[in-house]
Amino acid sequence: MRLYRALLRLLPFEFRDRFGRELEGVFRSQHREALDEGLGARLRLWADTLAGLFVVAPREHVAILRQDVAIAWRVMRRRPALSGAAIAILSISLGAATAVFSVVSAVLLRPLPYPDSPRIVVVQERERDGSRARVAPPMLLEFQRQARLLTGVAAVTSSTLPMRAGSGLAAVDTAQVTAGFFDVYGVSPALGRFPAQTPIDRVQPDEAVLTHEYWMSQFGGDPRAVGRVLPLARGPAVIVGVLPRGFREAHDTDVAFYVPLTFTANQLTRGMFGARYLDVVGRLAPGVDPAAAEAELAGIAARARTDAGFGRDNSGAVVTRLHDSLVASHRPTIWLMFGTVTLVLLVAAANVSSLLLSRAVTREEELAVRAALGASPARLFRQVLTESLVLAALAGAGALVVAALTMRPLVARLPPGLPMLNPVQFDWRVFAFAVGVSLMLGACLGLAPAVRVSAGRLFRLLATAGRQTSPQHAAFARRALLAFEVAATFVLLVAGVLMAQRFQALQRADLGFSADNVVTALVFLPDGSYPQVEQQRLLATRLSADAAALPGATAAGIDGNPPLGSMTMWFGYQLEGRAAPSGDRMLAQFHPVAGRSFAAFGTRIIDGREFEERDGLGDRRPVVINEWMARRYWPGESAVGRRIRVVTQSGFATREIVGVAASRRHQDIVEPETAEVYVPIARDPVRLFTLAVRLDGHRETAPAQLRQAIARIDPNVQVVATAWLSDAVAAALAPRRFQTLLVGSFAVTALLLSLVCIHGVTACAVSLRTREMGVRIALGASSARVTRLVIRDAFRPIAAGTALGIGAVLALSRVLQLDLAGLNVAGAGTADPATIGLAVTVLLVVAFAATWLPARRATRVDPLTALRQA
Amino acid sequence: MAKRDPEPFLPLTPAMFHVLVALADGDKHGYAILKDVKRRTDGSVKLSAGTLYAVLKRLLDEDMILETDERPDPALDDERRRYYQLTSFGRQVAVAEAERMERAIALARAKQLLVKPRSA
Repeated sequence: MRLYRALLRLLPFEFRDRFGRELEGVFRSQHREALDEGLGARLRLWADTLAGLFVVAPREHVAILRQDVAIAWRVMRRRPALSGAAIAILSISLGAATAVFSVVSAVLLRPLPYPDSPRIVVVQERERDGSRARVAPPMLLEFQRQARLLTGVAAVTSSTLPMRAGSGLAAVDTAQVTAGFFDVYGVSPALGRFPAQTPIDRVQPDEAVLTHEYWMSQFGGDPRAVGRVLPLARGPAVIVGVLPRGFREAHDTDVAFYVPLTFTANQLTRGMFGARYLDVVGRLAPGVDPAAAEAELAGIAARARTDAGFGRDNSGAVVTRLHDSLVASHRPTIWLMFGTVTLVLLVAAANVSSLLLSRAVTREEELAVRAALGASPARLFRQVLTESLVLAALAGAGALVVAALTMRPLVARLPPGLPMLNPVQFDWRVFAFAVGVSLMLGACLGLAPAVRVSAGRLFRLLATAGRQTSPQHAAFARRALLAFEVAATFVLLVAGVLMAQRFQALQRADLGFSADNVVTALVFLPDGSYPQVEQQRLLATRLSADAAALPGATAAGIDGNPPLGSMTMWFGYQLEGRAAPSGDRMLAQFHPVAGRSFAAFGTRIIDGREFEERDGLGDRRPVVINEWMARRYWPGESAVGRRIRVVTQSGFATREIVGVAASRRHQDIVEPETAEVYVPIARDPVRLFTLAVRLDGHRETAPAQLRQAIARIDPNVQVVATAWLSDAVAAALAPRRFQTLLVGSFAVTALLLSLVCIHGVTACAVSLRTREMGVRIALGASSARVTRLVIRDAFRPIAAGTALGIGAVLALSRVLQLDLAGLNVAGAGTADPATIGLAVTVLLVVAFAATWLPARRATRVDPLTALRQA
Repeated sequence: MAKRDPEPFLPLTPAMFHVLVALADGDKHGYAILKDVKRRTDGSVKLSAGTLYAVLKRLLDEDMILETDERPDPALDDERRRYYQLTSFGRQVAVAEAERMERAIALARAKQLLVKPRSA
């Protein structure tokens, strides 16, 4: 019997209340009868009883829920403006949060889209000082030969290769990979095979494997593409296979096709252990964790370096899971975005909660009547909770729509370099987030009123005949909500101010070059042309001189590795006669230059001189270094005349420093300064370089004129692309502009919501104290005094909220400072007293504006009317 | 009270129909209804207590039955038991359902689906 009574708990309590005892009675009779009939009858009775309950209980629950929802709908319809506002506020804020969450989900939560992806790791070398570096070619070979805990180790480098297209050339993004690269990723060709390759001997002709996207766009998905030849400028490559649809490798997601990466014997000599430029990935053997693989590789690295005569040091290897390695640097940015949007959501929720409380008074009277008519407290609890859940469910549905609409524009403006290997989309995680948060909001919004309703206050309310005991509770709750809302708004304001300061600082930042009115041409010398270094030197001189003669040109020059040119060329260096501070990577951005390159790019020469024509001739081996190197290695003295040793393919060579140039941002406008070394292009010729012309103003025709000028010199010299340098800067700024606008608009939204809330709470407080104000005015209080009273009262929760907000900002200051490393502007972006002061001022001005009107209303209370109400 | 149309309630679930039928010849308490249904259908319609009261609740809410205070014989009775009585509307619904079934049978017969009339 006890068991049966327990089972009855499955039924809704209304049902139990009504029929519980009878059910027990019937069951008792049935049971008695079954006892007489034997065990079989008893078992049958239990089976039937259980089956019946499991059918009836859910059905009854649903019936009641349907009733509650219908009532909730009627309640909402009665105050359409209020309900609409609440739903709209929640929809928009939750929608924005959902859209941002979809990014969090795609980037941070979902596993990478490769088979068994947690086993894919990034392999790096650990330098003497513990810092991480890429892997040198001979070290890669050691890893490949000896590693047992990795089933594969392979390298990738991306390169932009010129390819013949029609009569001209087009730049194509490609990647070079060593054998086994695709096995590491666990991918097989969708068509054909992968290139056959060995580490050293280059298979002739080159073999290429196309990405699915390139195959579709260039060959229309024709299977006969396999076997055809890609006319690469450096020599033809035969297409041997096509990758499966959607495959994008983690280091370079914009690849048209892959060609084998091979090394010359020179590149694999022991001297090349310092040339760490390969991105290396590996696949862990089943059950092996990265730490174990790291220990193994570190041992291999140490042995190899010792054998090569480098002596025993702390250098080794670092093994990181690919996913961790990709997202590590972006994690703070993403969480910042998610944090700000969550704050807005909290502000919105507090606001809606406050809105709902404003109707609590009338609601409670109505519920009190229902309670008096016999509705049980539990029933009313359920009813009130259902109301807010219905509201939240509608808001959740609205949020899904808002998220669907904002997801695409959001993704288009995400910070650059974010690893978007998983598409941002609606998946079960995003859906669960929206639904879960909306239900949670519904529960939070409804719980407080529901508890109040069921705690029996209603009867007291009825007993006091609405003599306003309840509104004061509501008023207290609203003040608490307000304080919380103000705190959250304050944090957002500070974040917004910081972002704005940072963006301003970025626009003013010294990039080490000046992008205004600089037109560039990416130039390629076809293989076979200009075989002699001297011919190339003369061509470079000629190109620079003719470009400088264009209308409006003030300077022209060549750089093989221009800023924001989406390429990097590192080479190793050593200091002569002194030790470098430990921790330096000893890799410099390598810039082969010609003509008046520094003037064309607007890079100041700080010390010494720029190159002259004679530097490319004879035995002189001059270099220009950047300011970062000069300050770091020769602090307080001139670097001019000192020597450095640089790594070339034939070993180390000594070079003399003749000048110091300002440090440039290279790949992005925000990045830490690093070493840069300039050499005359005649000394280290490259076949792909950028010709830049600085003009006296913006000239629409300059790119075309530049192309013509180059064609006049030699029609076989290929111009891959022309562009304005300022466009590259604008492109680099665009995502930051978006982030600033995003956080800024979040802050403004929160501020507006707070304004509404402060106004509402103050107005409510004033109307509650009408009698008191009347008495005060009757007793001779001046209107200024009444205003002060109201405002002082209203400011208590605001002050509490602001204090809370300041505390939060100080606690969060580390998060708020991110992404500022490498900016040449001091002081911007930290939560300093001035920033906090600014945010406080904005908040107080808004708060004052919001309280002023209700305060004025208080002074106009007619004492007679007010007293009569009492 | 305006006259209600039984039509929207048809067809009744078997359980609802049998409960109405059980009450047609007099007021009964829950357990008696159960036994009546079981007896009349030779056990082919088996109601559990839970199902029964879900049906009773529905019938009460739709005014097809009502609780009654009249006890047939207080001496034989258990205090806790409530008795249920068929309302005139409940009777109408039961009749409408029976007629509906009759029409269905007639139709089946006309189409030779049922060959001979079943003997009661």
